[in-house]
Amino acid sequence: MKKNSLVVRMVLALMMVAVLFVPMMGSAAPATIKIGTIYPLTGANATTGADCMSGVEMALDIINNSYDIDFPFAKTVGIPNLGGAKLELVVGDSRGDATVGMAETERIITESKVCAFFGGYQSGVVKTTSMAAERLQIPYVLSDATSPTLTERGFQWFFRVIPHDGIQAKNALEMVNDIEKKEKVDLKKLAILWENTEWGASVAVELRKWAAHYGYKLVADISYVYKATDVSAEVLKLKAANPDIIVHAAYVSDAILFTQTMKAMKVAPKVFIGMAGYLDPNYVGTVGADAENIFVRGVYGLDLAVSKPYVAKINELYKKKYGRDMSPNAARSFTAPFVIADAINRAKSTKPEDIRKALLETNMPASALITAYDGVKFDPVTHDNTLAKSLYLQIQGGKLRVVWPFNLAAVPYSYPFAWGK
Amino acid sequence: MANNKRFIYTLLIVLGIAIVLPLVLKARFQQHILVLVMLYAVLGEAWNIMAGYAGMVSIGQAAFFGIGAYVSTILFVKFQVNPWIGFIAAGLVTAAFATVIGLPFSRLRGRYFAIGTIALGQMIKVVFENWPWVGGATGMIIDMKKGSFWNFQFHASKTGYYYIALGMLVFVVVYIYIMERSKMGFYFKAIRENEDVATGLGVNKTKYKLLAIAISAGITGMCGTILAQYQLYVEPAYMFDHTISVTIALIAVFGGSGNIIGPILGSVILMPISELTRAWMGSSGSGIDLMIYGVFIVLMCVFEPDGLMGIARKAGRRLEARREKEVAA
Amino acid sequence: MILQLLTGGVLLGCVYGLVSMGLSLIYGVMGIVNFAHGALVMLAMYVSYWLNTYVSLDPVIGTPIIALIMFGFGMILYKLVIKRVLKGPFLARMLVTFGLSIFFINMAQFLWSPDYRNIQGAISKGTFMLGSVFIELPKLVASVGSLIVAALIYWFLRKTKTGLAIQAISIDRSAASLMGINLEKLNAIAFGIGIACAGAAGSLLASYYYIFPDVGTMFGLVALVAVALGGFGSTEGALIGAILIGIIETLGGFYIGPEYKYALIFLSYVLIVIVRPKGLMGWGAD
Repeated sequence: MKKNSLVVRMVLALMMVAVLFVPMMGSAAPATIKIGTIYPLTGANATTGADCMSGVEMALDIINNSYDIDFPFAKTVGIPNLGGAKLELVVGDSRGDATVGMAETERIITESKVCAFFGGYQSGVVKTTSMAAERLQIPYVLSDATSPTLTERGFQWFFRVIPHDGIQAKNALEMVNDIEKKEKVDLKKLAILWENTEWGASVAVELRKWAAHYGYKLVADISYVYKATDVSAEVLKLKAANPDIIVHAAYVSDAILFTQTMKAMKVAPKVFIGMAGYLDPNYVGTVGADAENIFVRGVYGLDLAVSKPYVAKINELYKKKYGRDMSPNAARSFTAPFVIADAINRAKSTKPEDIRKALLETNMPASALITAYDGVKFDPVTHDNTLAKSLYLQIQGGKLRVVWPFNLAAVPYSYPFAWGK
Repeated sequence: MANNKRFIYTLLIVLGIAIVLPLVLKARFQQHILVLVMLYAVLGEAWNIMAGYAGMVSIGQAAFFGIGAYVSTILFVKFQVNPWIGFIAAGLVTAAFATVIGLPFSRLRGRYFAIGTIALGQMIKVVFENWPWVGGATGMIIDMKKGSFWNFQFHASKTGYYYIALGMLVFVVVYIYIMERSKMGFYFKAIRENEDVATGLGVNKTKYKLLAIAISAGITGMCGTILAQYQLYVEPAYMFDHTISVTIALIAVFGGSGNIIGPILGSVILMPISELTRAWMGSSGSGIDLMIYGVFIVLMCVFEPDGLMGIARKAGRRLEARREKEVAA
Repeated sequence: MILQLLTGGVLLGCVYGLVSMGLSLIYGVMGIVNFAHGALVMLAMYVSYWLNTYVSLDPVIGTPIIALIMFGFGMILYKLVIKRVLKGPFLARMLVTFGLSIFFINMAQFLWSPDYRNIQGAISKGTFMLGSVFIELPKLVASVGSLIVAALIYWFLRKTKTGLAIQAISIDRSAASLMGINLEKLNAIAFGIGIACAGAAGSLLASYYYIFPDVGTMFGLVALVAVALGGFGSTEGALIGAILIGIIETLGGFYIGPEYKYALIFLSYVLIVIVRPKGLMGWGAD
């Protein structure tokens, strides 16, 4: 026993030494352009982090290799104006934690000498990751976190492609308005349901603002812990309020839990709108038919292929690689590498300052995006994308179909919402 | 007494190394690890005062940590008070809060106290999440100022944060060293070993328990300010995170609780392992880095339940024995 | 409404109770606060899932089998790890379960990815009405399971020789060993039974709850509070504590606000323990 434990102790010591030194032996492959990213790859949001990462990997595959698709950077190899230099991805795990996120971003920027950074997913984490990039003066392109406060800080190096919660909340109620007009009904009672972290709270603020603007009556304003094991109390509160419209800002596990509990307790609004977690393939996979006819906020839908044929082709590639359709979460993360590639290509340089200047002059057309935006053009002050736009999808037949704005709708929406058998 | 002198010399040498270290390890990530090592060493020592010496095991230090972070941030954001004043205020407010909370808590013993502290951490988090004046769940952003000692912000290099934490560590170690040899230290240990006997001997149990909690909380709160200034952002979800509480306890126990060196050793070993394994393997998203971390802790408990200090003591004894043998020969 | 809330609270409480009882038993016998209990429930949920996927074993019917598997796993865990830390200080005994918890959660992610899974078509599905009260069948089944487990433990501890010996240990270790009780063997059995309870909990939960690596964390935490509330070492106390927590959670969540419901659970724990420092039904040394 004594001897045994001594051996184990030595093994432990060796393990430690190994662990300390292995990362120092980083490899340096020449002629690639390094860009960094970070997602929550472990912890409660790991599944969404993995989904985002697959979108990012797909983007790099298309940029770096040659595919016969009518899409920027697809036909060519690498960045054309830099002699076809390929992009190399350096990935970090934020563990869904702001401190870890900051440290990982700094490590990747300084150790791997990346010339641009993107990603983050959770708004709270992006607050510190973007701060790290700002301190180290590296351009940061955000295409997947939506809290309005992120672009209110006057950062020089931070750019956001995705529409923020203010726009998305406004669009949600606009859609309800449109539905009311079309169906000739009057929906008044609105319930908002939000997970109580940075992102959910800022969605709630925006929703309250726009609800007042559009004259909806807030009958329930419920926040909850997204790690909750049971939500009967929340759902009973909803039931008591008996709303016409429910808007739910949720991550995945809580989206699943609420759907199951609401069905069990027969809480059925006329219009049921979900956000974020509802987009995750795991959501529909888990609740199955119960997800039918829920509206989901998104910036992407496979239906966009009707007006953008390359969307279908990219989805083909994606399906071959990951065995499922590209999810809206993957699609929005997919966009950032292209915005960065576009800036590097125009800058003809990998110097961070040159890339930043190029980003300011970004003017990507809608045809260079798989998402629903009218293009990418950054506001000179806030660096928010002035051409950003969100879509509303509806889960029909287990698939996310584009139903709003009506001019982009691929299928008619179904109204009113009701639980299946 | 000679032993004592040797101990102090060793400490001074270690301190010398600690001062020079950031001049050698210049990479940003290395410096980040150094800052974390220092910060958690201080947090571990603070935990040690309460748990290691006075026997009140806390798994809710995040409550104090978060309050400290919020105090300085509120002062800075709402009233433009210099973070250094906020730093001191964080210590005072947190200590005061801990005294008030400690009054009912000091009735709890052992596991009931430990789980009570978990409960405390969670409750405080909820309070801050639902308090609009401090930003609720959205938290508060600290404006980036020019990096300087006066502003308590450092951008070009992290050494500023490191030296502030190191300064705190020196202060805390000296304090504990004196405390260990004072009446208070003896009373703490008496309470830890047997509360009832201690009371029987005339120790004012409640007073000393409250003292231990308040001192521990005050130091922890000040560390909260350091982290808030470090990441320039406070949010309840992160500042009151249960993992912070667990990590603090882990580090102290891992190193060996109830003595000065333990938490420092624990932090020096555990923080780099956690950070480096993540940097090395975290990007795969497979969780393998945390698996290693978990196994490491389990192995440590199985083979060396007294923590790293247990190993050190045994090694010391072996060395001593060998020397004696040599002298005899 | 109040009737609905109470029903929901009791059902939820029974589910928590299922997780809590094993925790309490383990503590009572060997003085270990098992912070890995939530992670073990999670592992049991995965076992249940895989058995359902490969041999289409229904999670509810399979509960005894999964409890048995977890019993074996618990014995192994005891032999490999727990036995070795029993003699160590309280803090090491606590630390080791933290380490195990971190390990199991990430092992699950490593082996099975962070994806959400759920068991489709378990036999207990849907809701029914009892008067004006909705009852979710899977929760009812889980609650009944919880009561059965409680009854089994009660019977085992009071009517069997092994059970009586285990009780003797939790009252006085050294005296028990002097009386010729084989501590080692009984410890292993008690730990195994504790983990088997986690197994039963996981299996019944898997019948209606989704499964992912982090799923057990919150259950583990609530169960811990339930055990402390009921009083460490008392399995009946754990069940009662858990039911109380379930009721506080639903009633408080509804009348005071869902954002405060966990805070209320913790607050009521603190208040109760301040008045009764050993919980509702606790005894023995702290």
